[in-house]
Order: sequence, then structure tokens, then C-alpha cells
Amino acid sequence: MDENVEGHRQELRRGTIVLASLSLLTTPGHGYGLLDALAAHGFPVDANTLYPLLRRLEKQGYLVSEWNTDEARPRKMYRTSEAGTALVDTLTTDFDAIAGAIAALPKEG
Amino acid sequence: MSDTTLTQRYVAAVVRSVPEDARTDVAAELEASIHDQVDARIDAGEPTTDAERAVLVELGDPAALAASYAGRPLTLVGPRVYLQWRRTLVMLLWIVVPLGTIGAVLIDALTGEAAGTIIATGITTLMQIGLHVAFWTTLAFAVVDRAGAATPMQPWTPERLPRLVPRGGTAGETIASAVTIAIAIGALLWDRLVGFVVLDGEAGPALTSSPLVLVLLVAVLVAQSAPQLAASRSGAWTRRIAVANAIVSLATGTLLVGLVAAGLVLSERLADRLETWGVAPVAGAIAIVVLVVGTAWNVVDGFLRARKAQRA
Repeated sequence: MDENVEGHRQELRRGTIVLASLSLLTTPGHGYGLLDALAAHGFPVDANTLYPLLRRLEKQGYLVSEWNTDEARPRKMYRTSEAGTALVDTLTTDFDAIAGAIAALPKEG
Repeated sequence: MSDTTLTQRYVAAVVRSVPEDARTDVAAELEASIHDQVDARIDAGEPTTDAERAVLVELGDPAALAASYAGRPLTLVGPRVYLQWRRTLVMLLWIVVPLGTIGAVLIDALTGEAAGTIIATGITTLMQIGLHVAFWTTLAFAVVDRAGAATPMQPWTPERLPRLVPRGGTAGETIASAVTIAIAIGALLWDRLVGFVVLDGEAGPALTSSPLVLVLLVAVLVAQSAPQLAASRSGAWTRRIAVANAIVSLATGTLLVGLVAAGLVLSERLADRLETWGVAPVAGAIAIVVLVVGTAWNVVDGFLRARKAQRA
């Protein structure tokens, strides 16, 4: 029972990770930093989901990256590209539409 | 630093199956990320070794992470080709396994093997052919799935829905032709092992002992029932099936007439006796007439059924 509920919630949240990541990465950041930031903003996500997702978004052109070697530990820094910003707009519009549609659903009682 | 070995091993295990051009990049990024996560846990007061373990456990099986990086499916035959795979496998199993098993058993029986050997051959052939069909079909589909054929191989259309009521009662006829084949094969085996013809108080085979001729006879039987099977699958006799039926009937009829005319069908014992009685030419002529008439009727019958199904 609880497992089913958890499954449905995960399903619902899945697409929002892309939206949140692209939004947050308008300020450049690295994998772990984003993991932390996402959790802080209420988008908890597993590291093994996020890291491959970042590479996928980069491959699709929604993120760009460069290696930051200023610090002792070199880090791959991601930043949202123009296409990424456009995708954020599209997804946000869609999400608002969905939220509106849900609010407009007939309520019981 | 001894505490990095687990991490290094983990990263190496992940990048091993990541495409080569991305390997160093993924390795460096993953290692930095793991160190970041470990440091965060240590800052929160966890002992170093525990922190590293916990982070790696959370990341999970390196093979799964690598597949995720590479965008590889974690299934052998994915949902894109699964249905096609199942249809093909079921169809092949139904066709190839029985035919192969019957063939192997027949050859054993015709070469005079003992009953136990024949049964053993039947069972082992059944299992071996089943195994081969399942393995090679699955392998082929796994390769196709990974190679990434862009669309399903055979898009589904409503026309492919099975008919609820088979027109012309073909299901019963299909079972009938299957039973006919089974009885005929049983009769062949009985004739070979026991014998139908009792001459001078001794039973002996009526048909030749040549395995080639006997296998040909079985092949003829199976070939002749194929159009009926096709009709049952598509739900009714069609003109195309009738044409195929005509071709099969004419080819197998010609073959049978040829075998009879060449005197290859009967056993030597029976043929000799017919000769002695002086009825051999008459019997041969009757057999050929029966075959010709039977073949002609078969051809006509196919077209009649197709017409009847079209009107229905």
C-alpha cells in the first residue's frame, strides 16, 4: 500500500527534477552542489539519478559545462544554455497549466 | 590515501562500461562528486570509512549507474520489441519443435531402433530444439533491441485482431487435419514395427522400408494440411489460400503418382504377392486414378471453400 503511494509520488515528481535543475543551474554549479540545492528547495533526488541526468541534458544541449580547476578539487561546472532557459519556460508554462487544471477538477463534498 | 581505494575501485567499475570518449570525463566528475558527498558526511560527524561506504551504497551497483550514463536499457528484450519477440517465439515453438521431433522420431523408427531409443530420441530432441529456438530467437531480438530499430518492426493494426467466430468452421477442420496427420504417422509406425499385411499367417509391413520414401509420404501429408492451417489462421479460406492449396495439391499429387508408378511405395513382400496374383497392374492403375481424382477434388474443394467463405 505505502509502496504504491511512494511509486505514484515518484512518478509525479520525476519530470520536475529536470525543470528544477535547469532553473537552479542558471547560476553555474557542480553535481554535488546541485544535489544539495535541489534537496534544500524541496526536490529530493538520488545522486545516481541526478549525475547521469546532467550528462544527458548536456548532450541534448540544455546545459553547457566547463572544468573549474581553481580549487584543490577540479569540478565539472554546469550552466543552463539558452536552449535550456527556453525549455524551463516551456516546462513552467506546462506545469502552471497542469496545476490550474488540477485546481479546476471537481472536488468531493 | 588508503581511504580512497574503495572510491577509486567504484569509479573504475562504473567507467569500464561507459563509452570510451566519455570515460575520463565521467571518471573525474564522479570521483569529485563522491569526494564532495563523503566530505559532507564527515563534516556532519560520520567516521571517514563509514561515510565512504554509505555514499557508495547509496550510488548503488556500478553497472546500473554505468548503464544510466550510457543510456543503455537494463532489460534483455525491452518493451519496444517484447510483443514481437513473444509472438515469434510462440509461433516458432509451435511449428519447429513438433516438426523436428516428429522427424527425429520417424527417422529412428524407420531405421529400426528399439522403442526405448525412439522415446529417448523424442524427448531429447524436443528439449534440444526447444532450447535452441528459445535461445536464438531471444538473442536475435536482444541484438535488434540494442541496435535500436527506430520503430516497432510490425506496427499493429486493427486488421490483425483475431476473428471471434471463425467463418466456415475452420477450427474444427484444422483439428481434424492435425488428427489425420497424427493417425497417419501412427499407422506408418505401426506398419513399420508390427505390420498391416498378414500373408501366410505372418504380419508384415505394407509399405516400403525406404526411409526416404516414408519421410516423403509424411512430408506430403503435412504439406497438404498447410493450406487448411493458413485458412484457420486468417479465419477463412481466401482465393490466395485456394491458389496455394492448388499448387501444393498438384505438386504432392504428382510426387505420389510418380512414387506409385515407379513402384516405390509398397513393400517388396506385398508387391511380389500382388504380382503373383496377377493384379499388380490393375492395383497400380486404380491407385493412380484415385490419386488423380483426389488431387483434382482437393484443388476444386479449395476454390469452393474460398467462394463459400467470400459469400458468408
